[in-house]
Amino acid sequence: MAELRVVVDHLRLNYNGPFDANALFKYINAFLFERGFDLKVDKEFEQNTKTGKQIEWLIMPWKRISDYTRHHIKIRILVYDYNKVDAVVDKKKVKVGNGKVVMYLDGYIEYDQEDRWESIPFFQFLRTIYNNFVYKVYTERFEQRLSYDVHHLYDTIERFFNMYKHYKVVSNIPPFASAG
Amino acid sequence: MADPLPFKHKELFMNTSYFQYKGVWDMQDLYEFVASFFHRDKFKFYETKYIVKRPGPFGPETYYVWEATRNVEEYYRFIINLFLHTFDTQDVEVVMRDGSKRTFTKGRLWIQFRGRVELDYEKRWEENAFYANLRNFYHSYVIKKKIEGIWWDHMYYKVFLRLQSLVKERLKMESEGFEHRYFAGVR
Repeated sequence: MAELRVVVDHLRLNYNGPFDANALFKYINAFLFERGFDLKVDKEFEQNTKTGKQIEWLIMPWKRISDYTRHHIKIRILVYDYNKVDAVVDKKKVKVGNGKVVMYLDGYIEYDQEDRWESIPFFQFLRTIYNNFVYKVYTERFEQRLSYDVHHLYDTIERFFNMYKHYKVVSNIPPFASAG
Repeated sequence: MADPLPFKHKELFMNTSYFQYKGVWDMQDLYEFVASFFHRDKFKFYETKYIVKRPGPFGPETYYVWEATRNVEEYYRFIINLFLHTFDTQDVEVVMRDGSKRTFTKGRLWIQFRGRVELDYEKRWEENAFYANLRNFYHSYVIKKKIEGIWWDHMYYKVFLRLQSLVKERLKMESEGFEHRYFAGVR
C-alpha cells in the first residue's frame, strides 16, 4: 500500500435553495477535466422519496503528478429534498431544482504509487526519509498544488451556487413582493 | 515458493462503481438498451445468471448477472460485468404522453459495474516458465505504456464510463451526462 497523506481534510459546503443538480455535476466534471484529472466514480445514488429526490454522488478523481506522486480529490455530494419548482429570474418564469446540499471535499496525496518502496521495512524507512527530508521541497510543493486545486474547486462551486442568487422561487416569494 | 508461471499485468481492473436508484423505471427497456449498447460496440453479451428470490414483505427480489466480452485483438480483450439487483419491486401501469399504457417497475435498483482488460487471454505464453518470464518482460518494459495509457484508457473512457453515463440517462438520473463522453472522439 502506497503512502497516502491527507492534505485537505473534509472541507464542507452547505447550501439550501435553488440550483440545478445536473448542471452542478457537469460543472464539477468540467473543472476536473480542464485540469487533467481522471475520473473515478464510486457512487451514484438517487432515490425518489416523498419529500423529493435524495442524491448521493461520490467521485474520487486522480491526477498523476510524476511517476512517484499522485493527487486524489474525494468529492462527496449529498442532495436532499430536491424538487423541481417554479422560479422567477429576469422577470421570466423558469423551472429550476430546489433543495439542500451538503458537500465534502478531501485532498489526498499518494506517494510511491507503484509500491516500489514497499517490499521491506528498510525501504519504507528510506522512503519516509526521502519524502520528509531529502525531497522536502518537492513534497511541500506537491502538497501546496493539491491544496490549491481543492480550494479552487471549492471557490468554483461557491461561485456556481452564487449564480442562483437571482432566482426567486415562486412558492417562497411573499405575495406583496413584485416579481423579479 | 515462486510461481512457476509468473504473470504480470494479467488483468487491468477498472474502478468498480455502484448505482442505486429508487423510483420507477422500465426494466425491459434497460435490458434491451444495455444489450444493444454491447452489440453496437462489438461485444458478446451473456446473461450468466437470472435469479428470482422468494418475495419479501415489500416485493420480489431479482438478481441479474450480465457479462460482456470483446476480443479486441489477439492479445487483449475487454470484459465488463454487471450485477443488477432489484428489490421491493412491483409492476405499475403508466400512461405515456400519447395515451398508451405500459408496465414499468417501481422499486429499488442496485447496479454494480466492474470491468477489466485481460491480456494474453489465449494463454499462448504459458507453455513453459521461460515464455512466462518473457511475457513479464514484454509487459513490464516493452508494452507497458500501451497497456496503461491506451488499452486501459480506451476501455475506461470509451466503454466503461460511457456505458455508465448512458445508463444514467436511461434511468433519467440527475447526474446524467459526463464530460469525458466525447473526449476520445464522437461515436
